[in-house]
Amino acid sequence: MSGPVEVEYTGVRELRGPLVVVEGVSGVGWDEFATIVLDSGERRHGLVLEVDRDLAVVQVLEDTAGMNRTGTRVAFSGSPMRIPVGAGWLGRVGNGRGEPADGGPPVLGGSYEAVGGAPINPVRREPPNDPVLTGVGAVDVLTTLVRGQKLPVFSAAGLPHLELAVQIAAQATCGGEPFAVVFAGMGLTHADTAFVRDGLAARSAARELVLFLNTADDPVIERLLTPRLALTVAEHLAFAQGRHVLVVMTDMTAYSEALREVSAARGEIPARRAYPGYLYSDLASLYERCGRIRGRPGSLTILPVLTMPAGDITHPVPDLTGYITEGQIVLSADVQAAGTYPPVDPLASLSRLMRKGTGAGRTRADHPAVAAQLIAALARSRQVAELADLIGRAALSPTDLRHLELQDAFRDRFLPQGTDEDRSLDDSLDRAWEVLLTLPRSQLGMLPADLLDTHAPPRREERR
Amino acid sequence: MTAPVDELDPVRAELLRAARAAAEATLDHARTGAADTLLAARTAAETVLAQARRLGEADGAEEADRERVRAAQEAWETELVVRAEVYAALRAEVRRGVRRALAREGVAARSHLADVARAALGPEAEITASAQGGVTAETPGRRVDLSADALADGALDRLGVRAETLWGPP
Amino acid sequence: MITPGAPGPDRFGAGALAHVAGGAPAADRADRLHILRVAGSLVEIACPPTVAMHDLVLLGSAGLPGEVVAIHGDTASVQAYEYTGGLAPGHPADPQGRPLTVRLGPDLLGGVFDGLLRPLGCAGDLLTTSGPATTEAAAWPFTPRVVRGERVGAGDVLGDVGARVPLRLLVPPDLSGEVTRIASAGAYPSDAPLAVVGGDEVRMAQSWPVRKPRPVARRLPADAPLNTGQRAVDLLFPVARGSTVAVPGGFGTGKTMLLQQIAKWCDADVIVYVGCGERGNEMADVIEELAELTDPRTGGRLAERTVTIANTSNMPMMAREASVHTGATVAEYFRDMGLDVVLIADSTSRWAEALREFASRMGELPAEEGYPASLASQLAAFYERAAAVRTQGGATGSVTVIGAVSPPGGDRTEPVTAHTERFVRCLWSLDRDLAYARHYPAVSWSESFSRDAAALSAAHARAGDPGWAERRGRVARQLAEADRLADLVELVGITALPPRERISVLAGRLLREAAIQQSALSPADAYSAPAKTAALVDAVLTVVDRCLEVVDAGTQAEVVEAVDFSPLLRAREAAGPAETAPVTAARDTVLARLAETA
Repeated sequence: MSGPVEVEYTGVRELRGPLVVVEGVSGVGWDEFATIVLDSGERRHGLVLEVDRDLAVVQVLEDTAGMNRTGTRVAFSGSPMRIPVGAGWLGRVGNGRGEPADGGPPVLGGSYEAVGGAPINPVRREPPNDPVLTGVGAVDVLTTLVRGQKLPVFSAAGLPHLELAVQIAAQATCGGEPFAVVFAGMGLTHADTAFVRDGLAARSAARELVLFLNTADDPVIERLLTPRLALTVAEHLAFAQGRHVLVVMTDMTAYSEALREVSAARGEIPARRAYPGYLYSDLASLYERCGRIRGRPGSLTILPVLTMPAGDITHPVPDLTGYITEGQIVLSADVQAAGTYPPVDPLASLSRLMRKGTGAGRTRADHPAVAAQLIAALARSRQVAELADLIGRAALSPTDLRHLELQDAFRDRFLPQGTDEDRSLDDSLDRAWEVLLTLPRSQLGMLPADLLDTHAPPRREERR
Repeated sequence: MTAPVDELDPVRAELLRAARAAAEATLDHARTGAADTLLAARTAAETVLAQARRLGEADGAEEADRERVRAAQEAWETELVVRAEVYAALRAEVRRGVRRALAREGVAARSHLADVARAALGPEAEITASAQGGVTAETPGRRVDLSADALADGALDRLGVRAETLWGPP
Repeated sequence: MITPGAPGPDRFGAGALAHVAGGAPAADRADRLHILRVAGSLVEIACPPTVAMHDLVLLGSAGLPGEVVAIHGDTASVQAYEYTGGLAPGHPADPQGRPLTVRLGPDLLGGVFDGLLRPLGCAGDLLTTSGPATTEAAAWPFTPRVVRGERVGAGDVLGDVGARVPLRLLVPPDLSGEVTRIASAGAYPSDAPLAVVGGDEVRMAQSWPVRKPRPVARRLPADAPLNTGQRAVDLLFPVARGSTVAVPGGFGTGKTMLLQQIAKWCDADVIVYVGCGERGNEMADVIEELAELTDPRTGGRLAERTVTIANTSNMPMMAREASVHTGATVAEYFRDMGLDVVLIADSTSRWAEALREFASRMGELPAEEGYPASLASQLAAFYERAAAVRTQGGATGSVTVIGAVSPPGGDRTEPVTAHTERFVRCLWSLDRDLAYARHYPAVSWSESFSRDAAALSAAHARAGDPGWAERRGRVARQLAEADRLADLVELVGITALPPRERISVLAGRLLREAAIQQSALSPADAYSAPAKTAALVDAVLTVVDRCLEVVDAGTQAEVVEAVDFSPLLRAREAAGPAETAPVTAARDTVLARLAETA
């Protein structure tokens, strides 16, 4: 109240679904944040969806249950929804609205930022070119996560995407530079929530973690807010405080369903599979908040996790995500069925920025060539495997048979890893070599000769 | 929802200054109390941690590692709970302070606040004295809350991040 | 200076509540223009009778730009181009009495702009602040080509402007008369008056409404080839200067990569690159690369011939709608100087989504998949801005439009893809299987087309390459034949095929790997001059002919298949972008090896 006196409006004209229409307002701007007090003294929150002359339409985050026309008071904040930001968030757990969920006092923060964020000027963006190492071999070697990138995990029901997300969030590092993880859980079950908190306990104890958890029984509209809170806190940690920040957002399908539900409640015209037409732009408004900014030390990397309904990659959520993000890590039910964790499908997975984030001075000099050769060899192996199904193993050439061996070696010695095993990049790359060397040298044309000489001592060749 | 209150600024400023002074004074006072509470909690946590560390040194096993994390996490949770208590205590204290300040000023304060409310809602606003001090004002469709507790909560919000000096750097 | 606040549509999507009855506007405000209603980017204002459709309106005290999209009685609907958070009923609205216009000038070259052509180079790290755009006032060398007293007409050349691309000062399209003043040779900033024609001052910088195509004397047939430097395109699906291309491709098929390669290496004079609802990191990457790469034809930086319009997916959606028209206007401005311009729009699907979003807020009845019924005509109108023309001043110039299409789920029957295919002359369809097999550029030979090919084969014949059409035809046939046989091989195995068919399978592989594939990352291969493209194809075809002769003469097909063809496969990397000798040498090496098998 160092400014004007706060006026509460009591004229509620209409209540419908998540909306409350307030009359007699003046000077209320679109997209303002509102605080709603009920008869009982309970406080709720809302956003202005529309202002028309002296009417304001407010969407209530916690829903309108129990609200009536006479006992409801609405106050407008004069600005869009904001959240305190600062290092005070590290080690803290918030609910989907950003309120403490760990028994602590409210996070006070040094300053407030609008949760919608602001687009990074494309001219001021620094193209990403250093890795975030996750300690997961399949990711680090084949689909390297690069600082400032957005790389989603495409999964399906029943696959261990949450385990992988938590493992990456627990293990990720940026070469000893200041690092933090912001984890946004949307529509998680209580069991999943407990799993996340347990799995990230060490990171939290090290004050490198911020958790925002919206559970499946929390209000749907809050689900739309949760990733925005996480990203706003992360942006401050990254661009104002110079940390490398990894934001894990799971499950983006639950988020998109919430968007669809809210859109339907508002009577909007649906597009593909009843998702709103602006699903692409809405997802982009989250994913595009990653990046690096010229002249600032930090970076913001986003790892969204989504489940493809019925495993369908052309479903709007994975499809539009794929159009926005810079690659994808695809989990496969087939690999999972073979009992392998993490069940990454190396051929369907891709990190578009990998070329810029790997190699001498970034990861290891042999990394790009090893990754490219391993992918090429695995592609050939898959073809051979399909051929073997058709014409029988006996009809395969000796080279083809070696490729089948390579596929086995990949699934036995490279891919499998414990959920709490933090594998060093050197270890992972050495395993990749071990897999590659199941092939004769003549089949490793993408590897420079000097690399082959160092990694393939004659002893191996003699043995063959 | 804004209101032209310029002519009342000196009055308003005086009231706000009183509320803020109450908050500041309370913060200083609360800091001493909080220090004791926190010290106790932290000493207990340190003991648990040290124990976990010794356990780790003894057998060096993975289990000990987990134990250490768990201990650290529990210590942190305790610390957060204590901080929340300290913060709640601060709020209660600030509210008491503002109520006292308003009571001291008596009728003068109430009439100042009523002026502020009328400036926001218009001369026809219906003014109601609030039980703990201060006033609320209402016209059809609008309401202004200038009760003691609302003023106190506003003052506490404005303290913002400075309230964190209660528990200092973790 | 741009776009405060939240990206995308509204932060949580649209929110129009049409059925909520509006209260009466406050009587004391009726005398001045003000906002009545705000629902996301759709703003309703009190409207005097003089306001016209598509007029520009500045909203609120910050002056957010918007366009009048509907007038009903004494109110008008305005589509705001920026985030409208905080705008409230009662805030001022200021109609400008003119449509949305952009400032055109030589300083566009090398610059990066938002969808309304406001420079991003001098904006902050985050696009939040509102304020006037400032540009550095560079001086441009000017040489007059008319004298005082001369009579000139619209489009006539008044003088030369010495940028890296040779520009001209033209009489504006709606002006003619006597030259009563002309500046002497020297360097001038772009907004300095350089001439007076028929009483009006003429400057290098001019304004033009973005939705109005600039006039031309007449359209010319598009029959000169645009060399893109991409073999898959130049060889199989060539495009003429002034023609139209659509590039549909699902995610991960390398659409943006192909368009960026064309922006870098095609032999146009000016490139207008519109990044429309795409990735920020990618924009940053292309901006950085263009600034570093040398233009092989001028020796300058590639950035100096490029105008970049960056409206990333998180920048305001409605400015995205304007951005393709802005790009077309910029392209036409340079075309009118007698230049060949390529306008690249990545991606038109995101533009169409903005159209859909807008129609939905206006409460229009949706047609297919929620798109407005006008989608087809709006797409057609955009592609119609491409043309080879005789300018008003008598020069020839062209605008070639290349638009990316991002079909949801890779579904080519969805409305944007389906309509676009009907309006364009060339289709470069990107194939997921090719991309999956890391075959780049993943232009499908079975699902792409070029309706310019006939006209261009005549042009190639005139330019001294009479074998062009025959070469193209043979490559197309050979690739189709190899595909047909590949299906067969999967069923019965290669050994079941007769020798000539086995060579056909081999020929398909050699064509794909030695000629059609192209590495965007290799300096030698990223760009391929017409001579090198012809040499590579001729080399492969010659080798294939020899293989056929060898098997016809009785040599076993597997002996031929076992020959080391690697010199041929490496030739595209071994030869520089315009070299042919290393290709011929590789061909001869392989021919010699084949001779040994006979």
